[in-house]
Amino acid sequence: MHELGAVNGLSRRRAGWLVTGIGVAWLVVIGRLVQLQVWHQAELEHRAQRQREFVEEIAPRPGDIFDRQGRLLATSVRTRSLYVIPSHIARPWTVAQQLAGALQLDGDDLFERVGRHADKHFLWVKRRLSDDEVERIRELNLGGDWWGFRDEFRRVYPQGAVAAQVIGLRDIDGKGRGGIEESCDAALQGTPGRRVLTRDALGRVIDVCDDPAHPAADGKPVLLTLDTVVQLFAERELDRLVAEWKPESCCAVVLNPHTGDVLAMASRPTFDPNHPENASEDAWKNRAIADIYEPGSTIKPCFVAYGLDQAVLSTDDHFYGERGVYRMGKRLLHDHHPYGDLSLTDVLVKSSNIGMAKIGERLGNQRLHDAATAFGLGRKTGIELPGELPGILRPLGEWTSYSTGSVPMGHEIAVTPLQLITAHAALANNGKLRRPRLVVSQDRDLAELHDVNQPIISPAVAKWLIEGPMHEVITRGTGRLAQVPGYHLFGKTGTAQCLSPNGGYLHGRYISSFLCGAPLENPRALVLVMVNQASGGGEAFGGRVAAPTAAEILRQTLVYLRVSPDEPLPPRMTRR
Amino acid sequence: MAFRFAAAVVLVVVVALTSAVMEKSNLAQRRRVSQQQYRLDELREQYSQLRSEAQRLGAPARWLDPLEQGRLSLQRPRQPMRAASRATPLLNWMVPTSRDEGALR
Repeated sequence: MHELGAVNGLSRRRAGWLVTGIGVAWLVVIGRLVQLQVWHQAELEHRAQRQREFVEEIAPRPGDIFDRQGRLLATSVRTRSLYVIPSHIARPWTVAQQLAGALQLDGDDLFERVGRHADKHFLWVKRRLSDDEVERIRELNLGGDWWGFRDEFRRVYPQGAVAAQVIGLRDIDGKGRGGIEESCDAALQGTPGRRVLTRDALGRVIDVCDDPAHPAADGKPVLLTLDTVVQLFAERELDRLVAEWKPESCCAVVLNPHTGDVLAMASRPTFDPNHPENASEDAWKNRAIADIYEPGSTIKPCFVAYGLDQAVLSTDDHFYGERGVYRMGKRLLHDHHPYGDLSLTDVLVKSSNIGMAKIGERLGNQRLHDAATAFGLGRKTGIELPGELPGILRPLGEWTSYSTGSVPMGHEIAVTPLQLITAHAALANNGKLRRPRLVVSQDRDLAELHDVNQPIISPAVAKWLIEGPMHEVITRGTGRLAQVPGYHLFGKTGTAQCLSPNGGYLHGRYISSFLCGAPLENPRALVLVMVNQASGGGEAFGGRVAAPTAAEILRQTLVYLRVSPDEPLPPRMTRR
Repeated sequence: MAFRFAAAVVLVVVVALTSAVMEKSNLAQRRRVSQQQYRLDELREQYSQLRSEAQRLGAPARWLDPLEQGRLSLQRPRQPMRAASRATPLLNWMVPTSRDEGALR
């Protein structure tokens, strides 16, 4: 009995220990569960999320650029770029040789790059792969999570090498460089979005979820005032000019004087934006806004217009040409011909420097400075392009008695081609200075804010100049080579010495320019051609070098714009 | 007692199975949405590429010289490319081949 009681007691104790042990084990498990799911919940949840979720940036598609007719000047197409995660690569040599073979890269160079970034989590192998290259990479059947493709956008310019300096480029990182691509980068670039990818334990993506708080916004389109066909006319004629006169550089601008719309802006040398790697160093410059030069005779009509408007000059004034030699204070001025009595019209038609010097004496430095300022010289036009120069207009306090004779002749001041054509556009626009524009603003209020249509001379004076002296420049003056059958043009030639970087002038080097417009009654287009140091043919005179090109661009533009001829065309119209 | 216990267990199981089915259906829908978004992206990309190519082929730089030199005719051909009339007749024109030019002479 006693033994039985003892055995029962031992069994109960053992059972008790067992139950206690099991209970403690359960308590430990419960405690661990509480620890994991209550105390460390946030931390573990965050770690798990990091392991299974991956945030990817969604690149926005850059906005397109159109011309005024809706032709596509610039657009973007998607390409794939290959990246690797060097810290996850187990066999870098093998990987480097495989990838280099598929992408036609240097295997050793790639291996070195991977080695240099061995601790990094991202390394580009090659960006913007072609479809064939993407296919070759896929055929390698690379496993693992150490590589991937990322979508990027490659910029394409469907119109080719047209208006290259005006449009600019987007670099490999999608940033605008030069031209409209740079000035309108904020609108064109768009906003990147975010996408959350959920991965399984093997790194495979099992779910894709766009982040609603960060949606991608594609870039906005930009509409330009350029007309690709008019631009082509300008580019083609500049190519012919370059072949004939072999200048250092040249440019052409076509402008609508009433609206300020730039219809064409071309420079030589140039480049193809689809192949920027082939561009020469000086091909990037937009010479219409970034080259400055003394305008010479081309600016004379502006000073005459101001003098007439101020009633300091009269349309029937006469000036004696001093037979080609005029002493003005300490200096001796020369004309290229020994003129006698010249009417105000003849001063412009024959481009007499002595006549202009006398006009300068009558106006005085103050009025000359006011005239230059009124026509926009010495300040930027405000066109929507980066890198525009303001030109040079010295403060009135720095002017001397020499300036009185020099400035009316177009010396001692420097302008860009765009400033010059804008000043002349005021004459063609009934005396109102209009801000030139390249971008058609979608925002009407902003467009009105930026619009400048400022009267600077009376419409009667502007009309007299256009239909009088500037028309006679073409019919019987220095611009005779710019005559276009069927149309009545107005214009002005210019031949100025090149400025030396060290001060003074370069001997024997000239800037030849010509500006013309039509029709007389209601000008629809102005064209300026500027030629820097024509070396072929031994000529520098603007009326010979630049005038024929400008007239041909104008003729083609007028036909394209369907401007009716002023008189019946001859039976057979052939191109020059 | 046993009946109530069994009923509770069955209820829990049914709810769990229903939620599993709904979750599966939800995931399937999300997969379809992702696929459609992917297709939409691909179509947009295709559209961009085709538009770019169309603009390149129709660029004035390609047809201006032939047009001015008379090598490009905007006249309607005698034999239209399609039997039915089009709403855009200008699209009927084509670059005349040497055979056409011989026939026209």
